Amino acid sequence: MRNRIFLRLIRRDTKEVFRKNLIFIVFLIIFLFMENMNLRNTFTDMGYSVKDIGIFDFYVYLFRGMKVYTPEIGGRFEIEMDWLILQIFPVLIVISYLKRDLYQMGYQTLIKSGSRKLWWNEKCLWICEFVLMIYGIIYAFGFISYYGSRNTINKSLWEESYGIIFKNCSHMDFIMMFVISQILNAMFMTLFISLISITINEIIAIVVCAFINVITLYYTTPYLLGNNTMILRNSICIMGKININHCYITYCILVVLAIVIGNIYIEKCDFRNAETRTRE
Amino acid sequence: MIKIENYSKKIKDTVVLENINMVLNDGMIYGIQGENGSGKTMLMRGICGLIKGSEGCITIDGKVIGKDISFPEDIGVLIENPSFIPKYTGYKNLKLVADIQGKVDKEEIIKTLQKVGLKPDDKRTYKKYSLGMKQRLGIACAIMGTPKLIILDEPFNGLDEKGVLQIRDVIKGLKQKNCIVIVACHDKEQLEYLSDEIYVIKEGKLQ
Repeated sequence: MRNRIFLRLIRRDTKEVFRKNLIFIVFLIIFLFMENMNLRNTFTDMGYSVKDIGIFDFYVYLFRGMKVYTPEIGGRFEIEMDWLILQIFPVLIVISYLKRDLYQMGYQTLIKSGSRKLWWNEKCLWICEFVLMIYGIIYAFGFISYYGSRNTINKSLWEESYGIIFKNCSHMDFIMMFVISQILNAMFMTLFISLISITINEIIAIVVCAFINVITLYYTTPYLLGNNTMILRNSICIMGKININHCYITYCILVVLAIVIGNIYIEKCDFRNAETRTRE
Repeated sequence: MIKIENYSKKIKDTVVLENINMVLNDGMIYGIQGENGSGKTMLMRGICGLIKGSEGCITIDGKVIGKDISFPEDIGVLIENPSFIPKYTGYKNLKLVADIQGKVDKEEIIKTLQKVGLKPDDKRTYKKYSLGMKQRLGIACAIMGTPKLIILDEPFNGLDEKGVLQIRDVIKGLKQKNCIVIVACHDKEQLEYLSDEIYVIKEGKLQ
């Protein structure tokens, strides 16, 4: 019975989140479209043809991240909004859905699920599934846009424009950079911020999310996990930067911690009315 | 059967429920009467498993809430204001809830909506419902599938006189299904009509 309820909740959440957030999905596609336009402009500005763009160039551009801001050196204070949007996007959708699920349907979903832990564990699995679907849309967009075009990276352009050197990258490195670190980071961030949204509140959760992402502007450290998604901060591509291989175990541990802490919290809290959850 | 033994609840320094002892048997309708802030809703939340007691325990069919099970296994609840998704119709909202356990089919939802005086094919979304319609939908959600335990907190709120009589008969009819029905209400007359036993709560204590 529990397994069936678990699967039903996942199925319901999957259908409902896309139904209720269709406008955000449209926004994501428009965002990807604009990124693609920016990429094409970057290529043409540097004297390359649009035909020189390959599918992997699209992903490099999307996941390039941003340079570190060093006020002593007098660098420009500049947040790459496209990177920030990519980091915050799944988080915003998930916490708005969680809030609606807990408040609108309210206690009905909890009680009918039969178990507090089942509710949270299902939400955790659904969050991971949702992140995979969002990144599926991102990868699919790149694939569709550049289907049939070159399947190698235009190394000279990236070296010239951003100082990114792909000389020593293996296929596994690309998978790690473009897929594993992106998805793991998004899963952890979304889980962690969701945990804050249900234990404290949504506003604080969004503030924390924005704060974590903005301070990565200043610090190149693997412990600020957003750094691990940036190609511009990856020591494989740019000398002296961070070794992102260390982050994978950290991500896995943190994901498990978020799930465990959520379980402990949800087991102990009181649902006194639709707007408050308190821990006794 | 539900056994509530020495159940107390303290929130910060305020005792909201103190030493509640009750035994509730199948096939009975129990009324809980009390003023605003007396602890009726808090007691109902405790029975549902939404809050954890500071002392004592609530046992349902031998299983302790909060220890053996998080929530009663077969329960329908209406506590405070009903809460549904504004963009969906009444039917769609009930379907979403029913789909979680998969025990209640389409025909049952339609019958339940008709029983509480709502139209199953009404295209209006929940946000366009009147207060009385929202209340009826909340009651429908609680009683659909005829669960073994039904908790109704102020079910007559927002209902007109005809609606009160209609819902009253619906609740009375649940007795034949061998459910335990717990109804909290200010109106003593309604409780006396409905209930086999009435408990009075004052300042968190049973009188």
